[in-house]
Amino acid sequence: MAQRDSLEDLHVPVSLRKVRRQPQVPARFTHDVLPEPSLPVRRALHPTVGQCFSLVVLPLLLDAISDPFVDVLTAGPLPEDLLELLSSLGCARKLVFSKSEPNAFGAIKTFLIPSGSEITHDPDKFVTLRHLTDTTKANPPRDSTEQEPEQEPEQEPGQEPEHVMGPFANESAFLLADWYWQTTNKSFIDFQKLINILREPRFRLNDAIHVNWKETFRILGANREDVPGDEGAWIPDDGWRATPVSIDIPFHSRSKDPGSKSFFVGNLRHRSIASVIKETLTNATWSILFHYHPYKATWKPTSESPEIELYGELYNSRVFRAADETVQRQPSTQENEGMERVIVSLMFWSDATQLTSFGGASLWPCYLFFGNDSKYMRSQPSERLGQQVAYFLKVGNGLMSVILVTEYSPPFSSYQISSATTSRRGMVGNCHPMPS
Amino acid sequence: MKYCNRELFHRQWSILLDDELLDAMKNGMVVVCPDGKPRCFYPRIFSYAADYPEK
Repeated sequence: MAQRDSLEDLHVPVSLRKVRRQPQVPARFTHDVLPEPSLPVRRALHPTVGQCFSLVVLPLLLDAISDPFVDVLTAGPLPEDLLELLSSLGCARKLVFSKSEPNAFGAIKTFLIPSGSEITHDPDKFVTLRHLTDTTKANPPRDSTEQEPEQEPEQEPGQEPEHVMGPFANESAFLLADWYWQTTNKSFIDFQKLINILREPRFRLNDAIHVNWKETFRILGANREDVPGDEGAWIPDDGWRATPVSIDIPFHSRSKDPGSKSFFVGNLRHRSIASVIKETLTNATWSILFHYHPYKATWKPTSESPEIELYGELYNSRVFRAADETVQRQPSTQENEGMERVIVSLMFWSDATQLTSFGGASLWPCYLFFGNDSKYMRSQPSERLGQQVAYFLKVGNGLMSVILVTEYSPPFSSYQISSATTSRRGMVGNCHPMPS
Repeated sequence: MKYCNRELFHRQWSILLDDELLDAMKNGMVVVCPDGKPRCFYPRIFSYAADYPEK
């Protein structure tokens, strides 16, 4: 039989001689549904089915739109006709594209803004050579402590004039204090500056000598809440706070005192992030360079060539645009009726630093930068766009010793204790029970 | 030690991300800008570059 088969096989081409057995695929492969992209919602919005669709899905969609934490990137943009339906119902706002003229390099900005509104602030108009360079010639030294009180009238036009000088009663006192705090080691140039202050026609000696300097300097460095009465009204932010931090540590059933215990670690020195944001937004110097609206930057080498998207800044990025679009689409509330809506992009940085070459003195600061600022400004320390937000605490050796000494009962061998803290064996060396 | 580090770190961030900030993230906060226009601001955390206590 096998021989006959083999003889017949000689007349057919080699490739067809043997019929290959169909491989048996496991059932889970044959019944598997391959993933495919979801169908666009637009098809469901047929005139006849549109009504039922809106009745069923609309409440869900409204929740999704009004929830700022919905990830627009994964959900994808909503189809146009659905948005039109929503905007006609007063549930979402209609957005339109607003294109700028090409700049010198041929780059175009495309904003997505609510229809009927316009871009009110273009930070790029205010960028000067000083902002883009860090040379001393183009960037004269400036001090924020000196400038901030002077900017106060611009910030809040209705504010009383005495807040302009901070805690100082008059201009003479302010100028002298400013001179005092500008530099630590006085030079001849500083001395000349002092003489210039004395020469000022507005300088009055009587104003300067009748000042309680010690008390005024104390208020100058104080937090608003620490200053009694109205004296701290000039301070633009809430200042630093110290919040006690305790952590709960569970102890197992065989320890001396089982259960969860709360341990005090220390005071966390921090600022209110909302207050830092407010301070930045109301500061005239910083807010000029603050990008309120993200945009898509595109470039066309020639008029026929396709548009190329430009990348570089956070406020050009898709994530920012998507976040902005979600907020812009939200229906108006009583609080924000008729106002521009702006995404404030927070960027946190933190890195523990060693303070000294010898010894263990270290700090763990947390910085806050704003993605609405250009990265070219942000990266210049002289622009002072970074804010310190907190100084994190670390679990110190002292706390670990307290935990070990108070909670581990004598029956535990030194081996068990050190194995509980293998990473810091040397640290708890003084807590080991004496070997018997 | 690892547990304590993690607990402490998260406890500190829960202090930093206080209710005032979370409310602003959800409902926006109205700030009068130096140009005199009130705007409604919605903070969002876009990047976070930090060391995390592993040990």
